[in-house]
Amino acid sequence: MKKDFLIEIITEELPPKNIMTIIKSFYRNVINECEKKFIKYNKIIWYATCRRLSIKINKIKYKKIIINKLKKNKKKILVKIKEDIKTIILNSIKKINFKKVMHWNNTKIKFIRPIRNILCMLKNKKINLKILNIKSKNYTLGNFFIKNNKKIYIKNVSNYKKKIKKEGKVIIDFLERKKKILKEIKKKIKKINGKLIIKKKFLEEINYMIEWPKIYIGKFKSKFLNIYKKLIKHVVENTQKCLIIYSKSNNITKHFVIISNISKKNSYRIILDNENIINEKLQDIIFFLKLDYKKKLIENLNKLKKHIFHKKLGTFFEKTIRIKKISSWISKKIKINKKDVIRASLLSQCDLLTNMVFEFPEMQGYIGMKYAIREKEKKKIAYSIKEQYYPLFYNSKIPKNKISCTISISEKIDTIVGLFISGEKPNSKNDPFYIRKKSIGIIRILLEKKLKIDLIKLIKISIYLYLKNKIEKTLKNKIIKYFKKRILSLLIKKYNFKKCFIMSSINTYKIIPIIIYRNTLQISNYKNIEILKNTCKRIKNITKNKKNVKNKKIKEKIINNNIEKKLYFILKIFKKNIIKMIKKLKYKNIFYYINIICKITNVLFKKIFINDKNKQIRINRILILKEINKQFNKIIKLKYILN
Amino acid sequence: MKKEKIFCLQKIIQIIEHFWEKNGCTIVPSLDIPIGAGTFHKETFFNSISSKKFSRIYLQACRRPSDSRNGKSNSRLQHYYQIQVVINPPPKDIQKKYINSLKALNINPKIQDIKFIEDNWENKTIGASGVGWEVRVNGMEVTQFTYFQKMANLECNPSTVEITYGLERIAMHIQNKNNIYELIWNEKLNEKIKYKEIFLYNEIEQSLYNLKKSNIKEILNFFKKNIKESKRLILLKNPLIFPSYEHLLLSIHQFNLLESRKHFSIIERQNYIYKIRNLSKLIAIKYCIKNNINYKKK
Repeated sequence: MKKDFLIEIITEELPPKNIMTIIKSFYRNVINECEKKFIKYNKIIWYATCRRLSIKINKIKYKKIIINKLKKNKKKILVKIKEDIKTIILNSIKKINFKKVMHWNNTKIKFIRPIRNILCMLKNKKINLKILNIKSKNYTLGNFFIKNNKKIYIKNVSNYKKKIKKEGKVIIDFLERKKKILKEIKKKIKKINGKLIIKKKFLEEINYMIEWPKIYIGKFKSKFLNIYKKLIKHVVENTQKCLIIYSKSNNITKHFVIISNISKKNSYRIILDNENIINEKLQDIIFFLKLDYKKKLIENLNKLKKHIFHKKLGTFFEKTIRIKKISSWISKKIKINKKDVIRASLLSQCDLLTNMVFEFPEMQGYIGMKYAIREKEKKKIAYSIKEQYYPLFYNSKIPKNKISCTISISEKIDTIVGLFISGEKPNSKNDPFYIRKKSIGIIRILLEKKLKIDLIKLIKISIYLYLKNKIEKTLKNKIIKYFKKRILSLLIKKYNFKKCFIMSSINTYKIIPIIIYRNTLQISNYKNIEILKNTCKRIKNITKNKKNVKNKKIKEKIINNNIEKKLYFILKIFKKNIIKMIKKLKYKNIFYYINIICKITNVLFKKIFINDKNKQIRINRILILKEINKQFNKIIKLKYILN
Repeated sequence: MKKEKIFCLQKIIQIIEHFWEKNGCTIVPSLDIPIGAGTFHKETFFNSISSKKFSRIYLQACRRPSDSRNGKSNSRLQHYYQIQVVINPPPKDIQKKYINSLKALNINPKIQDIKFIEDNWENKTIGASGVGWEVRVNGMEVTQFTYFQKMANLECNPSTVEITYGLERIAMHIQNKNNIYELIWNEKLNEKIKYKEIFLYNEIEQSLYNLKKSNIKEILNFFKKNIKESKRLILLKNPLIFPSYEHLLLSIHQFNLLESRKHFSIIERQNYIYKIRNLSKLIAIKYCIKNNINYKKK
């Protein structure tokens, strides 16, 4: 009973960016459901285009247990297999991972886009099925544009791919389409000596916009090549879904690739129309540039007074002034030119009022940078306007130059603190203002740029700028706690550190990410951690439940044992120097002491009885042991390694 | 090969209207109030909230003050025309019907590159949103195709389909013109009446008004007064739904005028939108109550 099975769902155009996730989710669901029903197969294949989602199961059959149960009665097996397939498909569709679904008729049914046909067959027979109120058919529909949705009857599932290509003008296979697109582009751009630079995601999107790709090359007017690169890219790629062609030296050329849905009969007109529309859009950009060039960027500063940043946090002008103040403070700490930082701060928000950013909000920062360069601001200052928004994503690049870092930190801390003050702090599910991303951004900059800025002070200054003299200790502590959590999770995730090693470095009176990192790294590399652990465990066991030691001090005079004397002597030096050593990162010394102390302590455990009959001596010994743990705790939070 | 006839704009309007009339749509007049999109027409706004069957087609002038280009852009206008087809519930073959309407205009999908590009339409002021596409012919957007999921922030179930033809854009494709003002509006024997004859000076003066000469203080005043009047009418014991809605539309236009003067910051703009949206929702709910329509807040 080995047969091929096929289901194809035809919809109106699916969102190309999501098709990959959708079809893969569908595919995985089918695999899981088959497992549940004890169904074996040779292979499951998925196909997807902008208008269809298909799953083909090759050589479907039951596992032996089921076949034996059905006593190899062929008819019985077939009936049951049909029933099971229905369940498999229905469940798999129900569980597809969609971001958003929609209504499209007067039933309660929802799907990602309107479903217009369902083909469902086992070898050469239709399987009758009603999915989302639509009855299955034994035909598919050809290309919507070229074949006008012509009905194509599938006589045998194994012919599906070929038949739909030949009769329906649909290349159903994602890889085959991609190959065809790339091959045709390469052939065409060879003639103009061009080069293709395309991100995988964008190629995927393009590939999912068509069923029958044909490639043409167009060009826009050369005069537009002077427009800023990113704007050209935005118009050609993001808006028009065409691909820019680069020169061999990686510059944008006037040529672009048009990926069309249909055949070549009318290529001249298709190219011309696409050229016209891109020319027109680039012309519009020149209109905005000309308007913006009429005044300097800094002239927008005063106008920021009229623009509310957030109703509880004042105007963009007020924000700018706060950024300026925080930045000035940072500039002193990291020793960079204060004048430059102030200039950069004042310019930082000015591009928000340009016509260009008004039209293309996603260009904020970039436009500020370009205009600043044009106005002959220092390069570093100009770049900082763009880089203040870095990192854009959790893992993306951080600002390069130190001015950018300064503005970026100031802009971010101001927003974070402001939102905490206005009560819009994030929770685990909701973070509409990207506070989490912003705080991780600050930490990453401090860490990766090795800037020794104390986060606690930074937070204090930022709070002061909002609240002036009002002291808000709980607020401050809340924000500090929030940052500590972020540092912790970042160090664990990114550097694979253990929580116990980070914890001791993080709970200090200063929070300087790079120092926390270095401390943790040193501790993580400590070799004798097991010995330390065992020693501390024993100490803990012996000292626990010992009352009468509270508020008592070690009495040096009554130490009579030599080993004990030695231990106490070293402990004293250790205690005296430990903070200094930590500050100077002298971990070699620290670990040297820890090693010795552990060693002597263990000898002590062997040689003497801690719980001496003499009460005084007994208490004294407990106190010494407790002191050891206390000092070790400054290096490594013992409670995290002991539990 | 037979030379295909090239249609003037006036003819394009007639063909589209005729096509949908044959497909069961009722032709209704345009709304006599400045609006930014055909969706604001009372026929669409109120009918798509209710679940009753309807199909309408209308020609609607639209105003987009922010798109003012002083008559200098070849394709952008602060005033243009749309044909709006609105049907509830959507026929199964609605996409095909739409393509056939293009065929009636001699736009052949076998030789012109037609694409449905994902574009989920949304208008925050009247709380309308839908799932859909912009339809492009050889890269030029000529139509917005939307299945409404929400109107006045109330759930649309059944969903209403709306097809919006951008007339000037379609004409530019059909007449193969780069410049909107060169479009042929009407053709008589030997005389051609161009788009610029009818609209260019209007476009220049209106742009000047929208971008520079409007009195921000006064418009803010108009805005507030219209909101106030709209509220008063909807809060009457027997609410006057349509007059209230019209005052709301006037205020939206004034909001757009303020926006074209860049009066708002991004966040402040939000506050204005909330104000309008809440009122539009109130109007929709009163309409539902008066007409015994079950509504679901989204």
